[in-house]
Amino acid sequence: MSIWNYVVTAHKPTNVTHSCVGNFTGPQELNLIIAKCTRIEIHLLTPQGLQPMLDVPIYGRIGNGEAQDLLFIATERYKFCVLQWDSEAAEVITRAMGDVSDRIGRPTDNGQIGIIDPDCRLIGLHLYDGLFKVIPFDNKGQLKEAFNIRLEELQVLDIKFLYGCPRPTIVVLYQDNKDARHVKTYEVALKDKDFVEGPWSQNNLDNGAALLIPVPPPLCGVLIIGEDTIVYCSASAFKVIPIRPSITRAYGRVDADGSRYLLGDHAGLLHLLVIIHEKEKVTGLKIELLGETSIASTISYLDNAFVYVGSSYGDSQLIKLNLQPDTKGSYVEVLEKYVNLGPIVDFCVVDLERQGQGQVVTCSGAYKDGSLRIVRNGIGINEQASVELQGIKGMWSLRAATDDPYDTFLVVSFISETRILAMNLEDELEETEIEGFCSQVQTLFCHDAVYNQLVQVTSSSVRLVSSTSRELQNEWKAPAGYSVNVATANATQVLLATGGGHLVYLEIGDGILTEVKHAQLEYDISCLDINPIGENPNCSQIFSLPDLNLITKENLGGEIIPRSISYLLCALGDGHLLNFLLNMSTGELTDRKKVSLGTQPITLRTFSSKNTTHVFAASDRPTVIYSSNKKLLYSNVNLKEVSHMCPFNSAAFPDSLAIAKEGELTIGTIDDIQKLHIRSIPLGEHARRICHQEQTRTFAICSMKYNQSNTEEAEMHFIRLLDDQTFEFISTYPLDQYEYGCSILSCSFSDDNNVYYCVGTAYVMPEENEPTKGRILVFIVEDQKLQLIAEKETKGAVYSVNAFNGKLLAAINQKIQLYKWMLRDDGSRELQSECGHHGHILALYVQTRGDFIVVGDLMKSISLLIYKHEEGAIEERAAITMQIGCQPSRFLMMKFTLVERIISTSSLSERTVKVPLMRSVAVLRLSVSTTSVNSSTGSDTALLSCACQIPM
Amino acid sequence: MWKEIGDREFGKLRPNLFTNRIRSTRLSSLQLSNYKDIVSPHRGSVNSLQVDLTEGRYLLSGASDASVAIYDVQRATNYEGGGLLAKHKSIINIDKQHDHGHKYAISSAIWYPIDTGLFITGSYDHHINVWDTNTTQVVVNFKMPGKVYRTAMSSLATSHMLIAAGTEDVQVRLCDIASGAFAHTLSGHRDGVMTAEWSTSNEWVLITGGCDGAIRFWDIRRAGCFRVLNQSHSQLGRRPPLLERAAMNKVSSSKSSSAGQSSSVKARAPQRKMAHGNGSKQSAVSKIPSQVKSSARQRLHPGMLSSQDHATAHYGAVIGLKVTEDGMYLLSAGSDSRLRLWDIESGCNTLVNFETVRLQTGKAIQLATTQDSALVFVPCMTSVKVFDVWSGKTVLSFRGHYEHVNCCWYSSQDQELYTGGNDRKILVWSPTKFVSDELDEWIKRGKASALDQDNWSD
Repeated sequence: MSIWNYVVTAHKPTNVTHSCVGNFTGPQELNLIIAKCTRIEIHLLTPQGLQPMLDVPIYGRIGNGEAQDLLFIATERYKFCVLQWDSEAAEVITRAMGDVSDRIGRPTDNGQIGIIDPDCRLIGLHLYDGLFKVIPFDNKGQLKEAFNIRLEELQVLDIKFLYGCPRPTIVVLYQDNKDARHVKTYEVALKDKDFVEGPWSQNNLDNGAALLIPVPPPLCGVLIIGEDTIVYCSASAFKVIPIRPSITRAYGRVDADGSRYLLGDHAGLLHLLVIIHEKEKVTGLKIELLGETSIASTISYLDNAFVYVGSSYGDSQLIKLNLQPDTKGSYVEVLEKYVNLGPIVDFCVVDLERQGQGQVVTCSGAYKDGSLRIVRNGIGINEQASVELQGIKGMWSLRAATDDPYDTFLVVSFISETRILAMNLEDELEETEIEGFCSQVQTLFCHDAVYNQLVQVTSSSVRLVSSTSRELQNEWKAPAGYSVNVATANATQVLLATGGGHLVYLEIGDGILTEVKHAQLEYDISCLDINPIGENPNCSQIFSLPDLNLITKENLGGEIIPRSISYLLCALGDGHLLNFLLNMSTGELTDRKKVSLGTQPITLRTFSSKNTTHVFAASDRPTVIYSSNKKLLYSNVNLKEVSHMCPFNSAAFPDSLAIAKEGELTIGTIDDIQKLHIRSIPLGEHARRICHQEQTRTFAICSMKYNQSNTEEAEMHFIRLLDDQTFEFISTYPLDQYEYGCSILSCSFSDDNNVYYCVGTAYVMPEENEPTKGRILVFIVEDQKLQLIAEKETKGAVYSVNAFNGKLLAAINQKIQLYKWMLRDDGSRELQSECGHHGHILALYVQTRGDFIVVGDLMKSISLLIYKHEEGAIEERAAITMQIGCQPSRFLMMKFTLVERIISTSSLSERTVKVPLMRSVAVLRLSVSTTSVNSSTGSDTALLSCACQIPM
Repeated sequence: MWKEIGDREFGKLRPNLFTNRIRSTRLSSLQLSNYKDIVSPHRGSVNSLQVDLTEGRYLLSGASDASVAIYDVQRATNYEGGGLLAKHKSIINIDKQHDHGHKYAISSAIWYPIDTGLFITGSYDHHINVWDTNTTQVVVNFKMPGKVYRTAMSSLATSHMLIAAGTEDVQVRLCDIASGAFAHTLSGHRDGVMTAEWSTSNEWVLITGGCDGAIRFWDIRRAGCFRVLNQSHSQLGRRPPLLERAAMNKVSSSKSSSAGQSSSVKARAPQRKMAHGNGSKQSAVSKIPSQVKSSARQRLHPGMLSSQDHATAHYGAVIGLKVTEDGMYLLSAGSDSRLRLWDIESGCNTLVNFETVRLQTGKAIQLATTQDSALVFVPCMTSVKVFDVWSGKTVLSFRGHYEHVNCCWYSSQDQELYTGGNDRKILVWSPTKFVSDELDEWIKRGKASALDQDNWSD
């Protein structure tokens, strides 16, 4: 029995925490360097836009980065490194690295600060309360031994180096124990390894002051950004302007002389701050609203009015600042968006298409940037060329010679003609002719044949053409009165079906076609495929599939031999796909399965990518079918509608696919199979809980809308019902004032066939620290509307609701409470409390299985409870008494599907009761979002998924 | 907590800050526990309390009746009051009747810091016993020259297993569990040693406080003590005063120091002068950080200047010592009813004025601090007071014991405070729980059961 789970990151982190601009890869090259949680991305600025250059994974979370040709990176785990670009090898090399952790001191509450002296004399780090660590540089730019300087201030909010000082000088923004905020300056005396009193200080600033911006020469000084004011402060000058109340989260310097700054606030508004000065004397400040972006966590001004806005709460953006406002008065033009999944507050796994391939629907983003994201495996097509062509009925690629590694011709069939495209010398697609082909009619099938020949099947004949001379070698004509309906071929064989259920088998020789066999079937043949099977390649198996289903008119067959298992795939005209397991020796078909891939007829075509065979199902929802772990998997392709597809491996476009879309022929390469595909549904409000109800095909979310129209922030809370296909709001239930939605669940109760949404809420009164009142609301979806059926008041916040043996199990503050669903005399229903369990501090997460209940507590780790039917009571069976190092955050966001497993494998001490369900669990599927795994990472956005099978 | 959980969920609050906020909100609601009760088997005053450092689960208590007991503070032995009141009875109790039990009062009982397999007791019968927890047998025994006041082990140590013992004798002894012999005797104190504490940042540094009022710092790798704290050598605030700009700029310093820019600078100036008075040696002392080896240190001790060697930290005996968790500051309590906060790096008294009323003088007391080093728990006669470390103000005051309180232990994992006193009780102080509805239920049930013995629910 393995106790280790295989945990893998399915999607790289997307939450941009830091960014900087510098000449990193070369003296003339301007780079944007982005820190995304555990990764660093280096982009090059080009006239075409940002060009990604490198993606460096870093173990640990990146705390601070600052670029000055070299890149200094410090991680939250007290490691640092200095990176340099090696332009010859085109890779990053490590100049210096080390550990900056200390035995003494308490880690800072307000986050780590890392700064570099503008004259590169030293690096300053504030990692522990009361300590300022200095890493000095020597003359050659090498790092010297670090030392700590005691800092008087305990609650440090920000530290920056001042420009234009003869000795390195820091400015410290701090809060005293009366919660007033001040700034102070210190000179760093490198020789004495201590501070020297700085040139100036400023007491009693704005209570919301949280950000310092050092102003470069010639002005020097510092800008202090508060919630209500912005202050310019230097030894000689002090200027204040009031601003609209806002919390500034990020800034970006526009000019090298530091007279203009971009400020991004918590509502996503971008402001321009201008320092008005006469020569070197500051005369005033001016602030101007530019427009709206994502809520910025970092702003980097690139060049020529291009700005990168990195965000933790929404998509990161590349914006352009225009000189003239648009019709809405905004100067901001969003050029590009970079997907950010974080922060994932909740998610559910659904199988909307019933393909057996789960999709994750996440509640992502926060505040106004809240959204739902549908994350699924999808395959992208990188378009390389496209031609406008209407009415394509079929496509095949052909080679100029049998042993030619590349395809040359692309045969495109239309309703009344066939055109042949070929690659010319300039690597362009050009129309050509193959004399031997009949181009006045629709082609039914084409294939390369042995002896440098090509086969074309039309409704009236089969033509064998030499690929070297391009002349007709031989022709097999369909019997008079019968036309060929469907045909298939491989290099040596042709199989075709004519009207009236006739099936004809031809073999290809050198310049000759011979009719080998003829068969008469009961029904008309709708699809055919031919494929050598097994060890004997001459033995061919034929499957004729008359209409399987009377409703469907058109069937198409395809066959795939992935590795050792053969499947027969059969597509129906209504968008369904049947798959069978094919027994190689007997030709027997077993394990029939039916999946829906779309609503339009499907065309199947095999292609190979990276030496494995895949099947492309072209329809209104194109899908790639592949086999992995002896299972057929379906991965949708990020294209809207595809009518036909054929592999086209030409010299200019190696490993490409030719895809016929609506009115267009595209040639493109295919992404790696199994790449995550993310679809965003912006909500404009902050979704906090989500669940799916399969019966009504709806999602329900608990969401929060921030209203910032007035001066005071008003929050409104809703329960929203969304259609699971269109993701549109179809019904909304507003919650009371001060009422928050805390948990949501779709469930049914015993003795009741209806399916309900149960919502747990809390009343958060401004004067109360802890909610003491909440509700459990039971809704039913009727006519696409949420109808409130029952409600039950609780004495606290309902942190979790769970279905439990046809009853409802709720975690209310420190208590676990079980409710029965009772029918009243008047026919209405109500929740009635049955029994409870206390002894928790805050029961945040509850999962159930059978009679077992697993509770994740804020402070007390996990405990396992059991419900006893006879006594109608809940009792504790076991607990992990070893507390998880008092890191309550580890439990946030944890959705354990089968936590019994965790308990049974964790080292239970002998004194606790053994859990008697060690053998009952077959498959463990754990979906964990990152915060639970790595408690120090905060709102990371990497989506982790973990699935493993454990033999019992 | 509601708001913090919400903010943490989408990463607005950093994990560190979240934990600290939850801890401090819970701490601020600390009161005599209404759901947890430790049943003390002791028939004498409780002198020492400690929860194990590995699991945070087993509470060890030593008492004047020569008994030592262990309780599981996580799992109750039985419940009362309808399951609402958890009773924690001792799971191990060793008293005088035990073959190897102590004869007289146990003054100190501590856990082996690495695991719960061993614990150490020090007694007035001149013995230190090392016990195997599972068999409750003495595995090592040290005979000391006098009454044992205090034993201490370093929680950081990876390369030694030394028990530092403070006894009636003037010498501090280091007892090596590995060899069963004394590894070292540290001489310097002029009277008995009431209290000993290891540094929380350096495994070699031991701090002892004696009845002579001195607090001595020892690097156990070297002979002699390297620092004696002097109560008149002080600094205002968290660090020694800044170097002055003027001095740096090589301008005559006398003028600028008297014309100090702000009142706080003025206040500092005379202290600086005093520091200068002690000459270059003093500044060398202030330069001894925990890790950096300084050549000055070797020169300094054992032949310390006698004026320095006679310095005192308190008028009277030092009865309690506690190093803050961040390893930067030291709290000391004296029989002069003073509590002092020292900067370990500079060795200065920080002049924080703690609003103590009176401390009991005859006995050593056990102080406790919170994990974030913001608050200190001090037994003050019959109550336990919580002071803000930096302002010295009383934040909370716990009254519950009928007689003097001797010891307290704060479990930062559960945010629970355990106190033991001369009234032989061990009290639990825990964050408030909203038990009102549960109590209602219980009362209802109680009424019902009073009417009828069957347990009806109504």
